Amino acid sequence: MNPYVISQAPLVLGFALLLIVASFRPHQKESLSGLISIVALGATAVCMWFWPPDVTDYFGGAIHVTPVGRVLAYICLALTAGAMLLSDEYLNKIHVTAVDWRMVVLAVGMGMVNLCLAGDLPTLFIAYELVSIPSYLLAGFSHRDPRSNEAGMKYLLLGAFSSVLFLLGLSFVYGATGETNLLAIHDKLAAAVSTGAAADLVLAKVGLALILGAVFFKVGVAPFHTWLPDVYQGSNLASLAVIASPVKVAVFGMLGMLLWGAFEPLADLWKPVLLCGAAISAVMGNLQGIRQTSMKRLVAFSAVVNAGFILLGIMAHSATVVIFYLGSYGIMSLGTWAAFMAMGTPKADVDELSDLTGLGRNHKWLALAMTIILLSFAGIPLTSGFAAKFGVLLEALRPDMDTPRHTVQVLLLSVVGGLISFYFYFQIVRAMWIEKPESRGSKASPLVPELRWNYVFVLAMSVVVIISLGMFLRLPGL
Amino acid sequence: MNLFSLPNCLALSLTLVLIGSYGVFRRRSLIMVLLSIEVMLNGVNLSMVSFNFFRWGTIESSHYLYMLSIGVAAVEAAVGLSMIIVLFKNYTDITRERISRLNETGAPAGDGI
Repeated sequence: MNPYVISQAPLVLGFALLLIVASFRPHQKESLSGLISIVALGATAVCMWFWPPDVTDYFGGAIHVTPVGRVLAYICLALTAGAMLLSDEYLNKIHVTAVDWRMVVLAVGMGMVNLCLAGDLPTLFIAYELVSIPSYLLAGFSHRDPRSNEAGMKYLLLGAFSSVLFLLGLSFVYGATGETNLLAIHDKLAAAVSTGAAADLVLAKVGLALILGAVFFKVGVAPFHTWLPDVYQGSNLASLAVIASPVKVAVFGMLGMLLWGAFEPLADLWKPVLLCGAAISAVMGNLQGIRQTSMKRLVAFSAVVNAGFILLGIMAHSATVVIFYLGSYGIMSLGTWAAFMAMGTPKADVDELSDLTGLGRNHKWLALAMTIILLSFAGIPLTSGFAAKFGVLLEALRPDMDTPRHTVQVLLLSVVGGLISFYFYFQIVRAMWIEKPESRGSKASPLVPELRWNYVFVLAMSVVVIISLGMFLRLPGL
Repeated sequence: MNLFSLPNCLALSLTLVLIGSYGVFRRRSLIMVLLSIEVMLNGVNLSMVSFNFFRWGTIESSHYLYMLSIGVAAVEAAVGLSMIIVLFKNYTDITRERISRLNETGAPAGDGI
């Protein structure tokens, strides 16, 4: 039987099982569904492990398995499993039915795997939507909370708008090449570039521009990032652990593979566009980020800044660096959400910066883990965040690559942006360790009910990964 | 003069997309916004079908994409309408600018969705 079908079967079966659990035990407090969904995600990863090691096509090229896509799919599955693990107690706290939430997350998981493996336009579009539509639901999942409703609706309207642009781009690319298979599109575009078929090239370029715009919208690259902080602020933390960590990895990975694969002949167009996106993200993300006092909004602007760096990596055409950056970013943001979930009181989440005051006194280990994650976000040496940023800069400056003009200036801008972002990460560190609870006139440090094993496990995993990636792993070229 | 040509069909489809995007940004009722997104999607579908008909008539591959996109549009509308119902329960209103509780701390209410 087709190995691809076997690898997707656990996700579908898991979804069906969750549906059965939902109809027979529709209570909030049950952890059976968590077990089922983690087993399903794990089984998919194991099945993918046994695929033939070389590049393979399934269904006549609709699924195109490359080593890069496989690694990204593993990262997505692992991060989704981590988010599942985190959700257990938190979902009870915010009165969300756990089974329903997990079904939606499994659907996202399936979409992410297929997004990394898509080989033609219909698969790409369906996988993109299978990631997007459940994400809108996740953002609006706490349906009793008006802010969550607003976040979900905002995400849905803007996301649907960007999906339409994406589809329009795909349609133009199809119109220019007459192919839906991505490899065939690459060949047709290369032929058009070498023969100089102007009409086809113009169509394909318009299509590419629309696709880039839509994906920038989706991942929140400045100047299309205005919705991102609002959506983060309204969503619950468990959903954020999915839509802000594995989903970003999958969509950025898809963008990278699309540009390096099918649109490689049009590199003259997309390299400057990515460079622009990176420059604007570095400026806007940092300048708006330093004003924030809400933690979720702050993390949203940090996501914008990181998106800029990932775009630089994609522009540098280096799969290793992009995978490294995405993996490190994914685990850092998963760790952040885990820490926020652990900090909340039984009634509410922490959100304001002043809520964290004095955390270092009362809960040393939690504050230490959070500090390490923040240092990695800021890009202090010996953390994975530093290795990832450094790798991106080195690859972008690689002499054998024809970078567009002004690359050096944009890199400098990103580095300066990185220095500015120190300020807003260290604001949190200062609140946790240095400030006394009384000095801000706020209440005492947030009550941590008890550090549950799943928070401890995910936090410990992310700290271990951050430090080991930062200290022991050597990037090619580093 | 034959009006039924690729440029005309593309112009029609782009007009639909533009009308839809005007609606997405300017209409106040959320239901009208969802309808505008549907108009945009139909414009895109029209462009796919017309590319297929006028340029690459021998292959049907774009028809699959077009049919899939109709299905996806239906799913999106279903999710959107259910969200509108939940919004109406909480706000008793589905006008965009009145649904604006997310903003920076201390700042006045946002511009809405």
